[in-house]
Amino acid sequence: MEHLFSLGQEYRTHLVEGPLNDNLRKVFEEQGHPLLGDAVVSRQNENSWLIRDKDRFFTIEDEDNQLNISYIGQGRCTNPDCTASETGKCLESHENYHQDCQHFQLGLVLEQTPSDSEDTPTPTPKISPKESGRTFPFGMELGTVEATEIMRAAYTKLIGVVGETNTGKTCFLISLYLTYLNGMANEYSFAGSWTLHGFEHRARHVRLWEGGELGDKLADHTFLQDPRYPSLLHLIVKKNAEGSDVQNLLFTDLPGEWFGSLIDNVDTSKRLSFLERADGIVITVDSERLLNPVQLHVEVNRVKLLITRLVETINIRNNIPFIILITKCDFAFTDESDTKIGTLSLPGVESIKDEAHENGLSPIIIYSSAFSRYPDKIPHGHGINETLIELLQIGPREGFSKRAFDGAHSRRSFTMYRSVYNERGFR
Amino acid sequence: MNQKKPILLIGGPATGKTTFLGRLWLSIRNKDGKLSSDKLPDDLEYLNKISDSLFRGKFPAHTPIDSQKSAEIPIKYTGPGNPIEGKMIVPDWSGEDCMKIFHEKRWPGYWENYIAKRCSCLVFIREKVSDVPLDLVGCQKFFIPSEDGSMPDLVADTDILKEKPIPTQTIIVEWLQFLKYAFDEVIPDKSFKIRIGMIVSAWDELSRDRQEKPPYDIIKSHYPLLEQYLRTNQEYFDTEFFGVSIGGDLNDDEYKDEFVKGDPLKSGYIIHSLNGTLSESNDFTLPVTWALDLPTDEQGGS
Repeated sequence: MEHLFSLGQEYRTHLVEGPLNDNLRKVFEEQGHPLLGDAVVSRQNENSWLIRDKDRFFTIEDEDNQLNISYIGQGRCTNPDCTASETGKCLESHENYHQDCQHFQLGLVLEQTPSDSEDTPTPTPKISPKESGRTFPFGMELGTVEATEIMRAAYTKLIGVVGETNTGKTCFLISLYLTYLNGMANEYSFAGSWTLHGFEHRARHVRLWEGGELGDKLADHTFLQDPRYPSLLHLIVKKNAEGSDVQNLLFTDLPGEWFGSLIDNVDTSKRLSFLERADGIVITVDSERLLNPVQLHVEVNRVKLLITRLVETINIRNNIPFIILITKCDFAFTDESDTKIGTLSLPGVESIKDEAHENGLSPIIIYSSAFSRYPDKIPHGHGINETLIELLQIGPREGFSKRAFDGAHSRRSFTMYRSVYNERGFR
Repeated sequence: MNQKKPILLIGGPATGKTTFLGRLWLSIRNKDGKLSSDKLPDDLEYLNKISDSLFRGKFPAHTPIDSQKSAEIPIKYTGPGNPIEGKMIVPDWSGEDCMKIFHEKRWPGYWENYIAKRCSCLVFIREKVSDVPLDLVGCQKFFIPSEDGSMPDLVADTDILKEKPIPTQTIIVEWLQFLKYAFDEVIPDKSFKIRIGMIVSAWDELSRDRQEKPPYDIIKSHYPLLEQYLRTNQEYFDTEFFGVSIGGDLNDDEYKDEFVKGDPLKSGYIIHSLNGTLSESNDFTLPVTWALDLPTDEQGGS
């Protein structure tokens, strides 16, 4: 039996008896083992499944918190009158004929060529995009596998967008994209994105977290038809001035609940441990809560706790841009107010800033408003460009060249964090 | 020039791909442009169908979905330098097929043949059928809570996407990313650049003041994401901008009458800046001549 590849636990939900789920079919294709026919899944026991693809058989075993996919080989029924290999229907009506029928032999190679030895399983045929079509790894968001592919090609900055629920994380990401879509960005121009579709859907507020199914780690792979899952959004920008300062950016798109849990209990920190290698942090703080005396102190306290957790528990580095993004600042204005943006100061902000300093960080306070109720006083998108420029100004992390490196074996790699999870037996 | 060089026509529904192909064929047959043809294509049915429509003063019928119509046209270049003969293959897909590939992030295997043959592309945009992208003001309504603090009622995803579809420029950028990704994998020569002719079709539909601007300016002002993408990826793409018009709206009876009573072989024009200045030409083969990397000016340089 030949081990082909492994998948994360989130794929378990796709393992349903019957025709193989499209997502799993795509994974096989992306891993270089495209399936040839109408593959069918059957369950062998609680942690084991069998996939029959024409006359080829694969197993999926749930072991060590991951799904291991192996190729068994071709199989056939030794009864010449039985067509189970072709049709999946056993002449003796065994539902699990590959296990129960005495005539069926797994691992029996149908057409052995002289070069095949009995000990060597027939490799699954590699099919080129010319034959099977080409699937692009672009979509609604990226998982760690796609992110690693990007990181292999060029130095890529990981930006952690952190903050509790409804503090404006998604709005920040949308505004970033919309400024490019509408030609409002300056200094840096749009140079590409593997998640264009995802930005567009988020901007329409149609890609929402589905309650109760938030996922408990970054996705490995993402699929167009899947619900939103903790993952990454991608953007490439290029400086307008002479030269070729191209920057690859991966922004985290994580549910606010993850950060609420981190504040409350350190046991949930492991899923955020990849932020240790972040090249920048944007922590979102909701103005509306700061302006409400009933919510102010709770909000300030929780933001301070989150900052301390990020430093103490996640071990974010203290020399990266650490931006405290005060969101929804249009709430600080009224029809009558004559406050100027430049003089804006909200309660609690200085206290949050002091906390960041005490934790060894060099915080930058940016007041922002993605969508403004008072555009004549604070324009739409205020603070978004400024935030991006702060994130772009710092160079690659020490010890990493600006150009390509092998992300798979680098300590920057997400896959490294995944393997650490597995070794320690947690996720 | 390759013996058989594919030129892909890419664009959403009703962006003028088939009309351009019909008018291009008339120009090649009429031998009034940079490219001509001494031989007839083996399969003329499709080209005849669309050119007949134009002769009757009608826009060619909508290309059926999954039709994979392809015109294989023998061509001869007789401009400056040595005469060149070859064949160009122009697949004409429906706009829906182009959209399907965008939505599914997947194209069929036969596309890989075009990539391997280092195809060039003509990308069609028609301002009238393209949509205004969502902006910060426009997407407010999806996010700002109402007076009582509740979020606006969410309608079904499909309704929102119908009301505010994915903008044309985003779809085209995604398409260009597909091409870049596939070429990068298939063509080992990293100095190779993909030729992308951006065609603003139905140029006559633009307002008078916009018609006086170069096609590049139309792309830059109306499709900033696309303009930025092309500008920041010049190491991968060779880009040229064209405006194309059949002369007017064939659905308008008055213009249709004028078109039929006049000479359809002389109708319409191409707007370009191939020689550095904004020019108008009746040579409908110019975008294709450029896409084939053949000289487009009398001096012999493109």
